[in-house]
Amino acid sequence: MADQIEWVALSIFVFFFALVTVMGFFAARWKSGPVSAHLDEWGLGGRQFGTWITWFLVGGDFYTAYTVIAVPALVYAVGAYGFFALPYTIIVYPFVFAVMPLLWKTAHANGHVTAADVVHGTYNSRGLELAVAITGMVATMPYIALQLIGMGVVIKAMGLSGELPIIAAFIVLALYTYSSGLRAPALIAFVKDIMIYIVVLVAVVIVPAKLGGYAAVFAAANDAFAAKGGATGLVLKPSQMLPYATLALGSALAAFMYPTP
Amino acid sequence: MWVLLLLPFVGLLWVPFYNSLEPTLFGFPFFYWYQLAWVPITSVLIWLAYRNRTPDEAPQISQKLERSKAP
Repeated sequence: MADQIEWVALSIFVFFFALVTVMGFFAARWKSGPVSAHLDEWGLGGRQFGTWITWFLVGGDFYTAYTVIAVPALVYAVGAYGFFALPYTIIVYPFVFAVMPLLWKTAHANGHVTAADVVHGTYNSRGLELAVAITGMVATMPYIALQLIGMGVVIKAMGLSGELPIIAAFIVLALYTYSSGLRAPALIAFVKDIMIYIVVLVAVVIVPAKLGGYAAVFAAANDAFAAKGGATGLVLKPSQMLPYATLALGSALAAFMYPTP
Repeated sequence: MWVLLLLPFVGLLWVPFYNSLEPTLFGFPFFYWYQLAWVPITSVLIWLAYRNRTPDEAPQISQKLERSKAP
């Protein structure tokens, strides 16, 4: 890999990283309530995010390095099998629409902050509460690892090498999250969501236009998978159909159980 | 109306139904455009379920919305 520094990409990255960092620290004062000592303020933004902020926050939190790096990489490598992320992110919404209002009502009425609080409040079991809290934290670890690997790939692509840039980036991220709580990702989500829309437009319009249209892209992919062989292809092998469906369903059921919003 | 929310599960988890290249649409094999089509369809289904909530669950939610908009 060439270690040539991409100055244009690096400048844009540094600009947006600085912007997001300033916003992250500034977020602590955004819509801040009278009592900043309570965990509600840090963990739930003072329970005052309405529909629009929540919509941006879910968008910013749900579509991550997993969406823009890991899934495309998997589809590029194996084809149809990696596409399970699409049915997953579709069926998660009717499920969440049915379940989350019930959870919200319980949490709102009883002042719960985390899923573990709700479980303790509903079932009055410290053991179950602890199990939910620990499962949440353990399950988040590989997810964070995935985000870090994604960040590492992006930083390498700009020509920076070594672990130092990613450690610095992570410390800055951790500091403003510590200082601002949920307000930081909520405010940054506005920038992030707009960037994702730009990526989507480029991927849907400009990339196919440069490559000769969607049919040409799929034809080239088909040839590549035919040459590659193995369990790859534009459609699933018969043995992949059941794993495809269970991956989609399992991911959808788990998606909103992460302690991150 | 809540049964509408089950349709995406049926449509997307019954994989053998859509695991084919033909018919294509705008150059997309059936496997891809069929699943992508469920994105807007599911949005409409959720909207229909939301519009037709039973009255006993509606007031609390609308009160909360008004309160959060108030200041």
